[in-house]
Amino acid sequence: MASSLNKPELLKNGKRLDGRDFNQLRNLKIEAGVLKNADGSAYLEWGNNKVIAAVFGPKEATSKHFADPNKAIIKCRYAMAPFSSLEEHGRTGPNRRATEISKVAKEVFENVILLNEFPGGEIDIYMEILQSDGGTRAAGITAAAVALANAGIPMKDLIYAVSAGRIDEHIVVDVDMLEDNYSDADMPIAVSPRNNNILLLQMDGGFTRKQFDEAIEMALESGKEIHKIQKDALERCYKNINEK
Amino acid sequence: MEIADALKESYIKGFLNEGKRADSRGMLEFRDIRIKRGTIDHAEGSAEIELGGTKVLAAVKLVLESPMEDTPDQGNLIINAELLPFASAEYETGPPTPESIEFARVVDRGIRAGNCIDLKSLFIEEGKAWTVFVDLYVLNYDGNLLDAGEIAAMSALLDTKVPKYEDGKAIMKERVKKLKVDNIVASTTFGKIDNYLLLDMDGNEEKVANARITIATDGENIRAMQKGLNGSFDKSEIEKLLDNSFEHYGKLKKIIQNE
Amino acid sequence: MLMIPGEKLFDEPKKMNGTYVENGATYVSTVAIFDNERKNFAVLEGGGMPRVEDIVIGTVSGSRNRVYNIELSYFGKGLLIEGKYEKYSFNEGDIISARVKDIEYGKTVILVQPRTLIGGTIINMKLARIPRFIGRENTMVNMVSELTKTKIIVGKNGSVWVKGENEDIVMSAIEMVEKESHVSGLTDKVKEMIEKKLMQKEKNKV
Repeated sequence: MASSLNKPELLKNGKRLDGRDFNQLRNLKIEAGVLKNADGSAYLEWGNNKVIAAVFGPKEATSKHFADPNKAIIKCRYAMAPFSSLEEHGRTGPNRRATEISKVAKEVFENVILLNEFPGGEIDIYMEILQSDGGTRAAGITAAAVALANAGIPMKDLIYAVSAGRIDEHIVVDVDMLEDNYSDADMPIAVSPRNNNILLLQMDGGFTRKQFDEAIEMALESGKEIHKIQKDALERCYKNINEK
Repeated sequence: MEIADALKESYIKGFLNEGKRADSRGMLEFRDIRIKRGTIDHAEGSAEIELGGTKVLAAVKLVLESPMEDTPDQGNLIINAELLPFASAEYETGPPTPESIEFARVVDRGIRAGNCIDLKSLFIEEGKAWTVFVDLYVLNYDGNLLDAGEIAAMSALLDTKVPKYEDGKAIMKERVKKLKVDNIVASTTFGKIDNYLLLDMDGNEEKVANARITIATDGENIRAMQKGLNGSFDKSEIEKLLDNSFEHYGKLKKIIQNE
Repeated sequence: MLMIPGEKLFDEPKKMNGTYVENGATYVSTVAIFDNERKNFAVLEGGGMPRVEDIVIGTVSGSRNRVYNIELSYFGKGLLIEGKYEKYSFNEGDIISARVKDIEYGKTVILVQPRTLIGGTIINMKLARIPRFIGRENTMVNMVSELTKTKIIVGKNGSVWVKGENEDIVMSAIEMVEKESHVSGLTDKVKEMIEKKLMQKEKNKV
């Protein structure tokens, strides 16, 4: 958490610093099928976030030790490029934060992918953050879902992720980096929109019961828009096949 | 190995279908919590917790360091965890696993978000502040490391005494005052087996659970949450567990404060 | 119209490639085109375990007590069992195509109607791109086969058997499909590439 010495004003005239309403998402653009070698891929821009997701598989599990004769195993890697931050140059290689995010993201995909269809198999999912501005795990997971669909990996649902937060007494959705550093609560979630099942939920800061409730509702509502953008990306990708 | 796990599953679900748990506990009931404080006198603070068969030792060391560049007026809090290879047949020696990293980070999250330690109070003078290191040592695993770790960490922080500072140096042998702890955060971790919701799963229950959620509160606010495993929760289940977490807070706070 | 994973297809359970059943309804599991008028559901990407009735291609790896073990690239083992009226005489290393009769315990593939494939080449392609290589109503694979004058059998387990003078050109076609599956007008592009390569070959003969 940043020092409270320099806490900036995050709100101005009842709106957020970038002019958004509390329940408004940043600009989100997704393009599917952007990498030739990957079995599936997606490029995503969300506010100033730039993310590439790539999927390989299904394929034979590379390590006999971890292979499961009854279903596919998943390898999932979330990583931030050393040039992704405006303020500093990072180091390559996974840090503890990236390790935790890789783990909770993997648990999301283990839920929705029909693993039983590939006994002894393996599916590799990569989420690479090329440029970061808050909400990168939500961006990575949202992109990876599209990449998985592009790879033809059978899934129960096309899932999405988004973050909700609190600035003073206001609940907001889609927290950017500045807001993330100084906000009073931050909660990324991943959702399966078919039943609104929650597949990932992390939170820190402070929420009363009522605030938590409002935050979840706002996130689920914004998810409808995110899901539509994901579907649009796939439609554009396969549009020309459709026309035949 | 596979057969043993399947037997475990039917053993546990057999009880659940009758509304019971293998150790006769209620569905939303903690195991007995026992805490010993000050067991490691080289550490500035320590507490060892027994939660059923789970045994976690939390030890606090204060180190004199310079404050970080972007927070020049405060000290630091760093929480680490180690799953000792002898704590469970399934643990191995080696670099930190994703499980141990998640464990440390989730315990840290609740305590930090709850502002339990006022980082400004760790500031001594320009260029000098205390960094509070909390190390969680898992000695034996029998489920629910997250709550055991968090309660042990809070208890150890309450046990912590700050060394004397003189002429720019820390005199580690002399401890002069208690560490200022501003808030008590208590953690409750729930699991889901089929559609049954359970509090404080033991080792066998954790093997069978499909979803898990940790909720850390300070009685008024939710301070941290972490959903784990590859199952899911719907909103009404989470609401029910939030209710239960707040219900448990008072009792857990008393235990942490040794009342 | 395009359908994506999670969308409901039918209010009753149906067993179809690219779908799954939950609570008595059928939902989409892979990106597909659903033609509402002709009730035609075409998977665009992806393949999972071969389904009953699918053709697969594999190598005979051994036999014991009238049961032949067939190595199916990617899916491990398939079994070919001699019955009262079915007697086979395959040798280790023979390449066969066969039809999936059953899948036991979700993973052991039971095969029937084996045919030895003599000569030719086996190409293992990316499972996910098989639907694309086959094309809607076999348009792509038929075009490739006719133009290159090769016999092509596509195994749903990712193995493609090709036999003819232009096996190398078929390989290029498969590679193109794998790398550009999302490109528009792919069938035409592949056709163009094949025609170019055929002309090259003609020139080199002279």
